[in-house]
Amino acid sequence: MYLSVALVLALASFSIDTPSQPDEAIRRDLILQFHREYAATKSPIDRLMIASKLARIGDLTYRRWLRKEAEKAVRNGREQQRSRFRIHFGPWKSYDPNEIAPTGSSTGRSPYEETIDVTAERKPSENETDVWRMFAFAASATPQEKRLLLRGLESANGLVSGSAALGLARLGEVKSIRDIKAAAQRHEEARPIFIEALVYLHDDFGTQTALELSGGDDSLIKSLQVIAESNHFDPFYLPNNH
Amino acid sequence: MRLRTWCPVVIVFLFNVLAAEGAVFGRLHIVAASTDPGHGGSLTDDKSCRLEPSPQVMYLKVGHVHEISVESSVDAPQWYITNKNVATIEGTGRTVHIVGIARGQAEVVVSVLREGRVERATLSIRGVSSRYTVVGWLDGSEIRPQTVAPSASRALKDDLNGPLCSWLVVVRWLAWGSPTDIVTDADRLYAKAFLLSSASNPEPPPEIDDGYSSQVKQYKLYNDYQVDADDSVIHQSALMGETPSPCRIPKSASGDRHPNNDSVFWNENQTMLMHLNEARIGREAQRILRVIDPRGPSAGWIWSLVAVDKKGTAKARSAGFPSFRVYRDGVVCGEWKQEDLARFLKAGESSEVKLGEARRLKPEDLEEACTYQLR
Repeated sequence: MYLSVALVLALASFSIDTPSQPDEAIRRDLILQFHREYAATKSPIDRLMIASKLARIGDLTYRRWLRKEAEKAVRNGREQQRSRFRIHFGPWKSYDPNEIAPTGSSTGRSPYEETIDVTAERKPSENETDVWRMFAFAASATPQEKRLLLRGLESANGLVSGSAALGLARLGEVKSIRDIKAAAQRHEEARPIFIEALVYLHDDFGTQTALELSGGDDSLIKSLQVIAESNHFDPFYLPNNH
Repeated sequence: MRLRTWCPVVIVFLFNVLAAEGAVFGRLHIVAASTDPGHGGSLTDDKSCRLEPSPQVMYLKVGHVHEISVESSVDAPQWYITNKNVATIEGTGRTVHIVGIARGQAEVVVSVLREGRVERATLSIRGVSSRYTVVGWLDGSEIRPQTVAPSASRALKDDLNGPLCSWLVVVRWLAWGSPTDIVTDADRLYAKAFLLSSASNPEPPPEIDDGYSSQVKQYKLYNDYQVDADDSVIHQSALMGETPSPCRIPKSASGDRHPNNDSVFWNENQTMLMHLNEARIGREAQRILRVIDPRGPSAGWIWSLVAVDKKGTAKARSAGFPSFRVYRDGVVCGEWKQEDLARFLKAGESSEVKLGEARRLKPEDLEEACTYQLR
């Protein structure tokens, strides 16, 4: 008797956890459709987005590629922070201390050598691609990949950092609230994204931090809460997964 | 032998050349000078008064007046016109005025008595319609998202009007396909109104020239049309403007051309020759529209129709949205203000004008193209 009740309960729980037949059919159709769209497009942005959508519905064909792209964005974000470097030229000829020194020589150094500081700026298009890379990764990252998101949060690119924050919010990473706040303070121009991420975390401390970052704008936070709830607390929510 | 065969031919040829030059029969020519303020206006390639040397042909627009004269020092020249339905002659003497009445062909003949002999000169008249241009433009001052949807969410308003507008529209709506920030119907309406208002055009000038058509960001639609005497078309272009992207993104998108755009056709009872200009927002904008309102109507069509009757008078009709301005020979002569935005957004595909419906239109179904007085 007990055994049969347990069996019924086990079967019931199985039927709850397993997607129903029509859902599975829809998922398979979607996977096919996304693969077709992926093959049809040449746009790297579209490919990133499709790969991410595939990962969200359990097709991991492009998972590794997505991760590598996100790593590239993180690397570029770090390089941007270290983009100031020094170049040393010369000496161009032997130094005669009696010779009249050309202008611009540094103290204690041959006038025929020079050190200049260079600030390298990445091309805007590359910066934009980094945003797409991190966005696509964040939309489908798994809890095991949160370290890469945390590294993304440190990016010098505000939108890359904001995308990573939304990815962490999607995973419900309440432990990252302080990191998100710090990133928001670093990126004034992208602050609304971090505020949004904190609200999507659906956590009292996160909401409190969002309120603080918004300068106590209660109506904005309430508005974001309504949106987050309607999106099932997924900042990358897609109705019908497409 | 060969010379004897060719000689008469050469003589006839030389005679004809000399006759054409007026050397044999005297120099009686009709000289045309425009007295019409609209003539040579701002639209180039104006054929309203083009005199071709041989044979002499004058393009005369309906309603326009041209001065013509006979140059010989002769007394009491007699003028007459072969088809009084096309044009009339006003005045007498060596200089008269010719007034365009309708489309069609006629000949103006002047005869003079010189040295006891009657000499005649002929001027062919081609009565053509005026050149009508209907410019469709989106009047941004008439679209205020806050007024249309005051109850839209604070977050949506902040995002669209703040520095992260492009992040929301391009990254999340367009590329990812997620209706972020959109929860209620008011949000949907606000977002659509915002996108439309950011794609508005400047008010078209009171006068335009041919260069205007290449300024694709100045208008949404550009319908240019002029009909010749024999129902052929002198000017015909149906262009779409480029839609500036919202959120100050340095990019524009061209519209989606309707398959019937630039069609020229007669209405069913063959009284009006029509020209259709029809388009709607481009593919990317349509994609955004589907994301923010997946169950809502698809993108609506905007259009203008210019109809010229056999007389050469023009009537027109347009979609109620956006605003339209009508030009006659490059000078504004009428306009229609855009109707309610919400009505246009609800109409969707039903705002399309189909050729079958357009063919069934009668003159009374259309409005006068020009409602202003010509300046």
